[in-house]
Amino acid sequence: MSDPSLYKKKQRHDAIAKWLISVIGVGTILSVLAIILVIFLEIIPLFTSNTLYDKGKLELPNDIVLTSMGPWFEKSLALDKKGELHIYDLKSKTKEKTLSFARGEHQITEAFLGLDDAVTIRWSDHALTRINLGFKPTFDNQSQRTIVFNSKTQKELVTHSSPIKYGRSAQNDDGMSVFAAITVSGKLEIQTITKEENFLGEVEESKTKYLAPSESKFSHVAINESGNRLFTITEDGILEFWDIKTKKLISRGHLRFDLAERQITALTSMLGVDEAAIAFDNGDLQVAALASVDGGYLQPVIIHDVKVSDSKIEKLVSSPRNRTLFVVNEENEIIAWYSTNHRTLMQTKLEQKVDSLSISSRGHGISLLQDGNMTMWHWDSPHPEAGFKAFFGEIWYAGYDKPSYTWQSSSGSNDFESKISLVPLIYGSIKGAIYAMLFSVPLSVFAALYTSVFAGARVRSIIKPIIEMMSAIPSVVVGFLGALWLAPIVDGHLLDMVVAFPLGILILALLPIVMGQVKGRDLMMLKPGVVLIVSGMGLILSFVIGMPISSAIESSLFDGDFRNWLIEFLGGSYDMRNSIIIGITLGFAVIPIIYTISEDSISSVPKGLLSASLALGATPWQTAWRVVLPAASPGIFAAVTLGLGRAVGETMIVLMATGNTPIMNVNIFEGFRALSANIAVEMPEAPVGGTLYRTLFLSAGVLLIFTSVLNTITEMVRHRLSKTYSKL
Amino acid sequence: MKSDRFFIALTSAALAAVALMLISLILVVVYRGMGTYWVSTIHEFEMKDSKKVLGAITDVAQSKKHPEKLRYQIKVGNRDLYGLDFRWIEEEEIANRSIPTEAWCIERMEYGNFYASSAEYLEEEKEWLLKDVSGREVKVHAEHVVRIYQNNQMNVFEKGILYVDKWFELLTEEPREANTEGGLYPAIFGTILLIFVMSIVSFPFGVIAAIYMREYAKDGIVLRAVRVAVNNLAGIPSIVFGIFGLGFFVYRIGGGIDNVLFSDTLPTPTFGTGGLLWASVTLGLLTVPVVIVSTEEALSVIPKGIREGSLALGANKLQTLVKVLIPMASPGILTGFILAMTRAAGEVAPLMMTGVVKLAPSLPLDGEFPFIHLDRKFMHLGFHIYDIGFQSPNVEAAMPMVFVTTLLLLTIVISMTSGAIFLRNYMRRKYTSSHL
Repeated sequence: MSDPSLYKKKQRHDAIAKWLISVIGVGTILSVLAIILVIFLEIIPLFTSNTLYDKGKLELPNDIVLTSMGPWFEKSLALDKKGELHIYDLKSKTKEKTLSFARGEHQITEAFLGLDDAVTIRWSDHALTRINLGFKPTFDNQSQRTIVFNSKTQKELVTHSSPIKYGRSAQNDDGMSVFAAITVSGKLEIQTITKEENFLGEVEESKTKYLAPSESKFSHVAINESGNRLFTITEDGILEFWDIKTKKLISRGHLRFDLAERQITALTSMLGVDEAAIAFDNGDLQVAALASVDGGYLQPVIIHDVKVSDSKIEKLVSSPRNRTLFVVNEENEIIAWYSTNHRTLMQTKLEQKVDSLSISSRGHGISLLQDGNMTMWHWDSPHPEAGFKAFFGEIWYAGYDKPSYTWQSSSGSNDFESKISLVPLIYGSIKGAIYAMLFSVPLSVFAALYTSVFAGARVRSIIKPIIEMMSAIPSVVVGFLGALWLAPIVDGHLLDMVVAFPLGILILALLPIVMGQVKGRDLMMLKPGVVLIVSGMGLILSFVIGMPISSAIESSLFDGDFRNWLIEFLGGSYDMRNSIIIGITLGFAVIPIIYTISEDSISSVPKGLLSASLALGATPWQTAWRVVLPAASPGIFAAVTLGLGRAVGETMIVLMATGNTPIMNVNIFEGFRALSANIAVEMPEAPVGGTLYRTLFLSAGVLLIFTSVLNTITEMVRHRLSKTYSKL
Repeated sequence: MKSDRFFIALTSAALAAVALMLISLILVVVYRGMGTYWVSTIHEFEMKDSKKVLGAITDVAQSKKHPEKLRYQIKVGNRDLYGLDFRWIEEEEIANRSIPTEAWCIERMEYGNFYASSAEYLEEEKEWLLKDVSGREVKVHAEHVVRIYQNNQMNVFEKGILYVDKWFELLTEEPREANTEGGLYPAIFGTILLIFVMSIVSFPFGVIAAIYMREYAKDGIVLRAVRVAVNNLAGIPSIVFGIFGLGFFVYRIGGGIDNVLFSDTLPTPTFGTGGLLWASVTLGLLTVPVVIVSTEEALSVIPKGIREGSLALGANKLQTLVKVLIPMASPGILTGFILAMTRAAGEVAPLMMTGVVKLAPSLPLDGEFPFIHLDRKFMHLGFHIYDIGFQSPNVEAAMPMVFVTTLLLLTIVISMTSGAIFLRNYMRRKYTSSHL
C-alpha cells in the first residue's frame, strides 16, 4: 500500500460494505421469516375478538316494557305500557318523536321482539298486536345518510275469547301473519291474517282461527322467522314441531324432556327453519332440530346440549343474524353462546336486574332495560362461528342426521350454518399423500438401491440428471396429464393393471432363470444398463401378456365389466378422477425427492461395511438388504418424511386430478378434497377479513406447521446420520 | 444365489419403471404437442343410414356396442352448424369411407374450423361460400378466414410450411376462441416477464443474505436456527406463499398504496388487486430460500486457504469477497438462480391468488408511459394449461392447445434445468481439479 489515502478509502468501503450486507442480509432473512408471523396474525382473530363497546345509557319515561336499538346505532326505541312507542336519536340522546299504538284503556302485559324485527304485544284484554319495527336509511341530495323509522309500519290485531298467558307472531313469505297464543287453561290457539288484493285492487283481509286438538296443556310456544314452523312444549315436557300451513305436526315422533330434574324456563326459535333453543332452570341450554336418527322418521332431536350457566336461565334471546344465543340468568349474568361450536363468546355480570334484553336486526346492537333505563352496547363478534370445536370437532349440524365432520363453507340462503371443519380436508390431504407414498416409496427406494449398489458409475451418471430433470417437471403438467390423459386410460384398464402386477413379478422371477440358460447372459455378469433395459422390457411384456388374459378373465368372471363388479363388491361410488390417479401422479411428483435423498444416504454408507460383508461371504443382495439398507435406513426415513411433506402440500395435482369433494373415506375409487386445493378453490370467493378468509389462513397455517415439522425431522435425522458415518 | 438375481431384477425393474413413466410422459407431450399442427387428412364417411360425415380422425378406440369393432373420434368442426366440434362414429355403422381430394379446411376467426366439401370465393361480396358435406351453405367473410387449404391435395413440403407457419403464429399471436385457438404470445411474454421481475426481487437479496450468513454473521445457535428455518421455508408448500402474497402484498400493502396514492380511483383497486408485481414478489419470496441455500453451499465449498491467502496478501474482506469468493462461487450461485427460475416458471398455485388471469386485456409492457405496468394482470403458460384444460366449456376442442402449451412449458423448464446441471458439473470439475 503505497498510497495511505487509498488504503483508508478501501478500509472505509470495507466497513460500509459490511454494514450494508449485514442490514440487507438480516432484513431479507427477517422478511422471509415474517411470512410465518403474518399468517398467524391473520388466524388469531378467529379465536379472540369478541368485544362489547358501551354505547351509553338513556333515561326513559315510566312503565317501559321493551327497548330496542336501530340497526346503525343512530336510533333506539322504547315501548311503554300504554302502547306509546318513543323513538330516540342517539347522537343527541333526545326523544325524536312518539308514535301511539295505544288501545284505549288496555295495557300491555308482555312485548316480545322477534327475529324478524317485529314486536308481538299481549294486551290485558287477551288481544295480540303485531307491529313491524323497521328502520331504513335514506339519502338526501348530498348523499348524506339519515336513518328514519319505516313509515310503512304494519299493525295487526287478533283477539281471543279466553285469557292468554303467552303470545307470539310471525309473517311468512306469502304475506300471511301468524299468531300463536296459549290460553291460561293451556290451549294452543293459532290465528292467521291473510291480505290479498282482489281484482278491483282492494285489499281483502281474511282471518282463520284454529285450536290445536291436544289432550295435554301447552306451556311454551315459538314461531320461526319465516313463519312456517311452530315449536311447542307441553306442560309434561313434550317438544313438537308443527307446519303452520297444514296445521299438522311435522313428524310422528316427539321429544320428551324429563321435568323432574329441571324445569323449562324459555323457548325461542333460531335462525334456521327447523331449529329451536330451550333453556332450563339449572343453567342448561339445548338446541333441538329435525333429524331422522338411524334411518327412522323425522323427529325433533337435541343436537346441542351444554350447561352455559350455573344458575337458572331467565331470558333467552336469539340473534337474528347468526346462531348466537343470548342468555340472562338469575344472577344477572349475560352470556353470549354460539350453538354450532358450543363457544361462550361473552360472559358479563351486571349489578342491576335485567328486565328485558333485545338484539338489533343486524345482530350487533344489544339493548337492556334495567330499572326503567336503557343500556346500549355494541356487540362486535366478527367470527362467532369459528373456534377449536368448529375446526376440529365433530358437530351435529341442523338438518343432519348425526354428528359429522363437514366442510361446506357457503350457500345461497342467509340462514345457512357454515360448516368449517378442517378434518375432512386434512383427511383428504393425508389420504392422497398415503396413496402417493404407497406408490412412490417402494419404487424410489428400490431404484435408489439399484443405482447406488448394483449399477455402475456410468449408469449412475446418466440416471441422476434424468431424475433431477423429473423433479423440475411442473406439477401443473403432471396434474393435467393425470386428469385428462391417465385417468381415462386407468379407467379402461383396471383389470389389466390388477393382472399385470403379479405377472410382472413372475416375469422378473423367471427372467434370471431364462437368462441363466444362455451362456454368458447371467444377470450378474451383464452390464447394468443392459439389465435395466431387459427388466424394463419385462415390465412392458407383463402388460402385453396381461391384457389378453385380463380380457378373458373379465368376460368369463365379471360379466365383461370388472369395474361395475368392483363397485358393487366394494360398495361406495366410483369417480374417474380417483385416488389411484392421485397415487400415481402425486407419487410421480415425489419420486425424485425420495429417490435423491435415499440414493444419497445409501451411497454414503461407508464402503468398508460393504467390503466386510462381501468378504464374509454374503451375496451382493444379502449385503444390500441386510447391511446397506439398515445402515441407510435413517436417511431413507428422512427421504420418506420429506416426500410426505411435499405430497401433503402439493396443490395443482390434487386440484386437477381429484373431484375435490370434501368426503371422508378410504375408498381408493373415490376422490377427496385436500387442504391445499381447498385454499385454491375457495380463496377467490372469500371476502377479505371474513371467517372463511381467516379459516383458509388457518388451513395454510396447518400446512405450514405440518411441513415444517416433517422438514425439521428430516434435517435432524440427516444431521445425525452424517455424524454417525463420520465416526465410522 | 438364485434369489439374488431375482432381487436385482426387481430393483432394476423399479428404476426401469420410473424411467418408463418419465419417458412416456415426455413422449405423450411431445407426440401430442408436436402433432397438433400437422395438417391431417380429411376423411369422408358414408354411414349406413346414408348420412355423411366429413372430418379428421383424432382418436380410435374399441367400440362399446360392438366389442370386436372400433369407433372413431372425428373432428367435424362446423360448430356453428352442428354445435359440437367432435363426434364418435361406430365402425359398424360405416358403409363407405373415402378421402375426398376436393375437401377444404377453413380456419376461421369464429366457431373454429370448417370442413367443407366445396368452397368458392365470391369476388363481389368478398366472401367464401362454403358447403358442408350434406350441402348446407355457410358464408364467411374473407377477413374472418385465417387460413384456407385443401388438406388432401397438399404434399409433405406444403404441409411442412404450413406447420412452421402455425408454430410461428403460436409464438407471436394473441389467442382466439376462448384461448383454444390462435397464439400464446401473451402467456409466453407474461411467463418470461414474471420470471424476470421475480429474479430482480429474489436474486440480489438472496445472495446478500447468504453472504451475510456465511461470511459475516457470527456462528452460533441463532445462525444455526436461522439456517434450519430458511431450509424449512424452502420446503413449505407454494400455496402457503400464495395465500401470504394475497393477504399481505395484495390486500395490505397494495390496499395501503391505493389508499395513499390512488385514492381518487377507489373503490376500483390499482395495486390492491392481484397483478404482475405482487405475483413476482410472492414468487421472489418463494425462491429466496432456494437462492440462499445454493449460494451458501457454493461459498462453503471454497477452501478456507483461498480466503486466508487473499487476506494474507493484503486484501480486505470486501476485496476478498468481490475479487475472489464471488467469482469462484459464481457457477454455484448461477445454478441456484436457474433452479429458482425453473421453480418460478412451473409454479401455478401462488399465481392463481396473486394476479394471473385467463385473458389479459393488455400486456404489462407497452408504449404507454411508464412503459412497464406492474399493476396489470398477466397470462402465464402454467395457468393456461389449468385454465383451458379444466375451466374451458369445450374441453375436447381445447385439448390440442393444452398439449401445445404443455410442450412449450416443458421445453422451457427442461432446457433451464439442463443448463443448471451442466453448470454445476462444470463447477465440480473445476474445483475438484484445483483443490487446495
